[in-house]
Amino acid sequence: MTQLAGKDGTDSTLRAAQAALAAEHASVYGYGALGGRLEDGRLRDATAASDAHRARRDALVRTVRDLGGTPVVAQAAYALPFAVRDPASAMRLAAVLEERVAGVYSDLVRAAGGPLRQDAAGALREAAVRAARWRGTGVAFPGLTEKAAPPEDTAEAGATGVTH
Amino acid sequence: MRRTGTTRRSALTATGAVALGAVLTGCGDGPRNRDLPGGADARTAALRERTALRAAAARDSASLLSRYEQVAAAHPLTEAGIAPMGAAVRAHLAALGGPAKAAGTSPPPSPPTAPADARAALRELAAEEGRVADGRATALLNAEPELARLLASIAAAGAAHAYLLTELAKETPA
Repeated sequence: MTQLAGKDGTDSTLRAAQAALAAEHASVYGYGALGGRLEDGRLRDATAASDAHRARRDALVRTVRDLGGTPVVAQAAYALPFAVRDPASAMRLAAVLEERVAGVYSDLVRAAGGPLRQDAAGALREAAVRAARWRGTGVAFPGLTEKAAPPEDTAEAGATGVTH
Repeated sequence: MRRTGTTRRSALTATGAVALGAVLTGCGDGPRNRDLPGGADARTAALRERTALRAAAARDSASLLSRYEQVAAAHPLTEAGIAPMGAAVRAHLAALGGPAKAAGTSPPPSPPTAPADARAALRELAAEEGRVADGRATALLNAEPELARLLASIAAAGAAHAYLLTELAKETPA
């Protein structure tokens, strides 16, 4: 009923898959930027997370091609939301990265059907578990940005702008 | 970047704008489905199926919520640790259109009472969250797009709860 329902359906699936791919590119970059600030067990966690994001990225490249699109490529650099200077800020960034990918995967769940929806739901779940591991707490609705309203997010309106 | 404050969605905004656009415009599949051909019977059947799926998901949340309440009552030591998760489950129940309290029109069968050992009780709760999350992961494959997105998020939250509860169990005296 919902999968590939005409051209509109395919287009929205492709757009969501491209957004997920772009977010995975950004995650891989972000983990590369934060890994150096972590040690031992946390560094191992970050390496495992980075590997998982690479695998998802590669799978999404194939998905986008299968949907008839040209996979978006990684940018040379990404603006980080804050400076990573110590383990605490590195872990905070890792949590932000996971929350970001959770957001695009929830959209992919909505836009896709069948196995792609299943994969997207699995990726969302993994991201939510990793985010909880980095933060030590969970959120009620991982990936649903419209339902995220913790106090620290009061400046959320700024998210509309592309800053470079 | 202009702002130095941390906002989750502004992270890596080069890609954020794309995702945000998707959130704002939505896909609109829900309302559009109502216009699909197929006659009144087919529409009614589809609607009934959707309502049933949502109701089943709400029952799972209600049942989980009562488990949280039982564990907190039996083991006051765990109450502070599990309270945020219980609150999330209550929010899930509300988002699924369930009653604000655990008791509904057809209350879930009383689950077994919490184990006498706090650590075991947390482990059981973790396992239950995992089981429910697995069930939701399957159910969302047959859901309409918006409900599928909601169920995927709730399942992800449940999996995170399973992880956090397992960690909490390790720190809790038996």
